[in-house]
Amino acid sequence: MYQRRNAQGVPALSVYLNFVEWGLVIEQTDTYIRTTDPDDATTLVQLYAWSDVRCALLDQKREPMMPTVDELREILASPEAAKGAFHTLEDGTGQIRGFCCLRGLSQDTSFCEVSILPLAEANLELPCMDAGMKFILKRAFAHHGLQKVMTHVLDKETRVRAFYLEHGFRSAGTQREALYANGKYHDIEALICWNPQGARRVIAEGSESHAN
Amino acid sequence: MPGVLLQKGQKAMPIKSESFIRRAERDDLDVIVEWMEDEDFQRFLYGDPARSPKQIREQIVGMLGRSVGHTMPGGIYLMVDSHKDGPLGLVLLQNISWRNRNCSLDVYLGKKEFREGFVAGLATFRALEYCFDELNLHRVSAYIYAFNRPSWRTFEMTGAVRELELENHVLRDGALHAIYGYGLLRSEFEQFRKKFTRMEGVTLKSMIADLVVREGAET
Repeated sequence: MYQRRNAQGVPALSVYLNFVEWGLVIEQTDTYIRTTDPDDATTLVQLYAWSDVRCALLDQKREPMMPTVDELREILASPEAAKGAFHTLEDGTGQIRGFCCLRGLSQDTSFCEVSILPLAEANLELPCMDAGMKFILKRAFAHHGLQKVMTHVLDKETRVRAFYLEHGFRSAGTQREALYANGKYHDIEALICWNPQGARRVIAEGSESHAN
Repeated sequence: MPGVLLQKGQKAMPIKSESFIRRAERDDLDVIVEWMEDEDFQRFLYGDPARSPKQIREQIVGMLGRSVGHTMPGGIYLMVDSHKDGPLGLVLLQNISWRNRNCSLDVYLGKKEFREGFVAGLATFRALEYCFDELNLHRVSAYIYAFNRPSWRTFEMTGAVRELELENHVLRDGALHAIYGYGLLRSEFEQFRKKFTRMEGVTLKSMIADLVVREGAET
């Protein structure tokens, strides 16, 4: 059960996010996590600014995208978004501070890609971003039973990288000069966080994986 | 030459080969489909963790079915062919990013007897020349399974750097295996070419010159 703060200025309350269907309870002050809806497209589009390329928003070829609000609205109305792949992170005042998402779930190899997307890097210091990261990791490990999650960061995303390391991610290597943006090449680093409990996802016929 | 020690300053004998690479055509579809049905194709080639085997198969069939070549395609498929032995294998240049000037490379030799020999290395070398000299790319990547040692050793010999080690990343035979991510920059490939002058006789340029001579002789 959760309570959402009144957007007109009522003091923030301790908020309990009880995602019964996922078996999760996230207790966090001044935080509201909800499934991203099509109306968030106007906020989400800010993340795609040319001057601030983010690794999490590159396409399959590692090229930056320039979606319009309407295109994002359409994506957020898609079945994948409706299943809860994208989540909006609000602070105690009801202001959107960022997003988190879980994508590319691979059932047979038991991993997926996760991303944390603050609207501004300074937002990473806010409790709602920490709650968002913990929420998405719990969803990957406790609900889906994955063995690991992955993410990628650009060499210039130092604060985001530090944020991931604080939450248990470790480097799996760096692809050199893999992205061209803002007049120069950038390195892309892969970060991995292993499920501390080991995987419980069945990875092969009749067998259960406990890989790490 | 194997077993012969060279004196200081003496140049090694240039390598010669009967094999060559060419664009894959619709007429190659039957032989490619035959290779794709081989369990080794599934076991070794699907190195890209971002795409499923089904996606790759559909993409290959789709690419071969095209009537005209795009000026800036997202993928290019080349056949490794031989004057003596016929089609030997397939070179896949995929996820070509014209913005980042990079692509991912897969090499598969359908004829097993050629897999661990010189043909695989030569096909990789020529494919890299094609990437850097013709497509003007800046970087070539390859995702190779850890258990496919001959393949990643071949790629390492061209100067490629192992940049990623993804443990427990791909499912084969009921077990999870590691994937290595390799990257080769143009500058690194240039260094390799300077070092291994024996490849001069089998470069893409000399291969094309040889094909022209052969065609002239046939007509």
